[in-house]
Amino acid sequence: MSNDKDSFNVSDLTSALKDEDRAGLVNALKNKLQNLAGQHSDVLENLTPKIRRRVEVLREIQGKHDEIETKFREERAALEAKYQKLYQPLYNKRYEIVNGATEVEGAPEDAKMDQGDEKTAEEKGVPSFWLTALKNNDVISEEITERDEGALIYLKDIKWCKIEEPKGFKLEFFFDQNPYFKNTLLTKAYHMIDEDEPLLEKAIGTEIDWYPGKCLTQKILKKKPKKGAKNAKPITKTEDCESFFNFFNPPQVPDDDEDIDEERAEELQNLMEQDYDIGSTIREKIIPHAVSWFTGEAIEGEEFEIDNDDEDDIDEDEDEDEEDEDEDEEEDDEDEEEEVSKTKKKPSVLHKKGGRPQVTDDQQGERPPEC
Amino acid sequence: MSNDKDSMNMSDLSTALNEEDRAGLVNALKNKLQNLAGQHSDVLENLTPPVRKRVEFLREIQNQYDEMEAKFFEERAALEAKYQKLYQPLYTKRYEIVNGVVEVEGAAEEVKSEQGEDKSAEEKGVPDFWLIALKNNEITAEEITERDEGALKYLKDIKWSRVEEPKGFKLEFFFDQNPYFKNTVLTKTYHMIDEDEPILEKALGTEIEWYPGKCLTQKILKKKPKKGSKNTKPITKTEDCESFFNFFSPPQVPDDDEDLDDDMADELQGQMEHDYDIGSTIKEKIISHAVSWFTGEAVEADDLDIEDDDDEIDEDDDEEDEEDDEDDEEEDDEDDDEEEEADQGKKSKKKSSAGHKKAGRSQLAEGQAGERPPEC
Repeated sequence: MSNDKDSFNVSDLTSALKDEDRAGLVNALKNKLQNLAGQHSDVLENLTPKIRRRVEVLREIQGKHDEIETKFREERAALEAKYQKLYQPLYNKRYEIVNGATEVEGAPEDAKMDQGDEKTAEEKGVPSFWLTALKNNDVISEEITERDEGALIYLKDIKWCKIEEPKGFKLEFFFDQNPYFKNTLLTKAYHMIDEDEPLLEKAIGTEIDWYPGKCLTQKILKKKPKKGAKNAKPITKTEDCESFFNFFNPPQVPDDDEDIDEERAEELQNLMEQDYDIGSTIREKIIPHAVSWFTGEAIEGEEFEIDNDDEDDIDEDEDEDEEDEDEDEEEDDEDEEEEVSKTKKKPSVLHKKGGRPQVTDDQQGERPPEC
Repeated sequence: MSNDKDSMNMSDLSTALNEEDRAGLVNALKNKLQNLAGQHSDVLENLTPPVRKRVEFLREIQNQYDEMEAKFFEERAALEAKYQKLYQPLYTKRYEIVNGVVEVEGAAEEVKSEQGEDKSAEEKGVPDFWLIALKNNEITAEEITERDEGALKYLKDIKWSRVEEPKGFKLEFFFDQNPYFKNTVLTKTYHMIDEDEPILEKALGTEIEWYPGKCLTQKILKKKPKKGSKNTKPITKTEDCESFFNFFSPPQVPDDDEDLDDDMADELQGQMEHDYDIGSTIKEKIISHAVSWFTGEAVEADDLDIEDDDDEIDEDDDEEDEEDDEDDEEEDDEDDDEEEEADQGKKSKKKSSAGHKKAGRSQLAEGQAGERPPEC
């Protein structure tokens, strides 16, 4: 009976299939059925034979969907790669201008007109470009302390690329030689569990080679020895403190995590989420729109200084004469401005990503103290 | 001086451009510069003329990028639409089988061989298909109470579609006629602020027309009147309670939200995030992989009953005989299985919750939703 039934099922599957890879698909379905029977027998065993038969056909349909979905992911990845390739020349031009590797037309003439500003003529590129861009984004600016700014002045480029094995992406921060650390390149890699959604498995950062006394993630405390003590030297102690550069030392799940209680697990969860938010903000916002963040154009939810006088109205009317894309952008801007004009609370509620750091702030009891 | 400078800038921009829409782009840049000067004068005014010149050039490059990015968004949307169209025939077939509109080959013959089961012969399609699929996903399972299950049995399809104005997406839940509510379609719509990332502006749901005494989002409390009081009728009071169907009454930002204090704003934020997680889970997981959730194949992090013996043999067979795509999928599955085994066999469940961002978020949201209705 059982053998006949198996044979019967296989022949039915065979007659139902018209694809070229019928034999392969039959074996695939057979094996999947065996897996199913072994792993989730509770569902199928409770079904009547007729319903079980229908579920088998449903699983066949699901298999076809999954194949189409796989092709979709391949095409989407190819499309994304195509555009990343198109963006690269623009990123290169940006790098050259920001770092003074290339001079733009007209700038030397300006220099002549300002002969009195000799210091100006010596200034290369666009100073503090990346520092300013990062500070204008509310997710990133929360991470940057005043002490960090001295080091971030030397930041000259940020890049990202996909990682294939394991799946994920990497951020690269290129620094000029500077008095803080030896590395010229700091990296942050995110390993994802699933290709299709942002489930973080692990985050890894470069170990920073700080010069003596220059570590920005720690502060030095000195205590004077007690009077009359044998030891006359002052006691030096280091303490962790807030810094953008903690980004390169991301929270890790301990190897033996049975020791973690529920509260600590949630806290760790929040730290990892916040860390991923910072990384994805840099990848998705700062890198592609660095100029807009530098100039402040990209600031939306935080901009409260809106000019409502005639100038803006006239300008916007003129914009209506431009391309459709501009109009779309302007419309979006107008909507956002209206929202902002109501109250500060609303943006924080509506902007999911912007609001999340606030949530994590409240729960991060162990956040390092201010330097 | 100022006029000469403007003129020079214009001529410089003109010489820098080679594209056909030079005139249009020049005007666009001019207007954008004016906007910039009006809105963010602090940055530019602090720059020296050479640096300002470079920034203007950078903004030109940024505009070229933005144009390219807009084309990318268009192509990506077209690609997604193309594949959604390819999925539709499969969703339709699924609907027909699940609801007994179409009978599969071989099922009828089995009826003959089991004449004794009359009730079995009468059962249409695959009963409780969507209910079981939703219950097997941990995010949606948390929303479903025992009382809800009676109503969710009548759920016969779930669909999603894009909404263009305003940008977002809509979920549609199709129900058979049932003794709980009159509606045959319940919808949930999400309006997004930005096309490129999931920033939620507003969520709207269908108002459910419950039949009398059947409302699953409220429970009825009865109190006996005090002895000797004039009023001898029992006092009836309704109280909100947990239910999957609260999904169709999503949290809203009050019109006058100056009254919100920080704590309430945070709580509302958490509730809205949680609601969006449910909606996107249904859109991205349940609808497209409903059969896998029904059978339990899609259950990964929750599955604790793993058999280590024969499964390995099966997996080996899969690897050796099947197509490359199958191999890729199997490899992913194996990685997941290994992780699960490692997590569950040696360590605690905590690591899984720490590693899985989305799964953890619903827990987080629950912690913050202090006003969550009590159990029914």
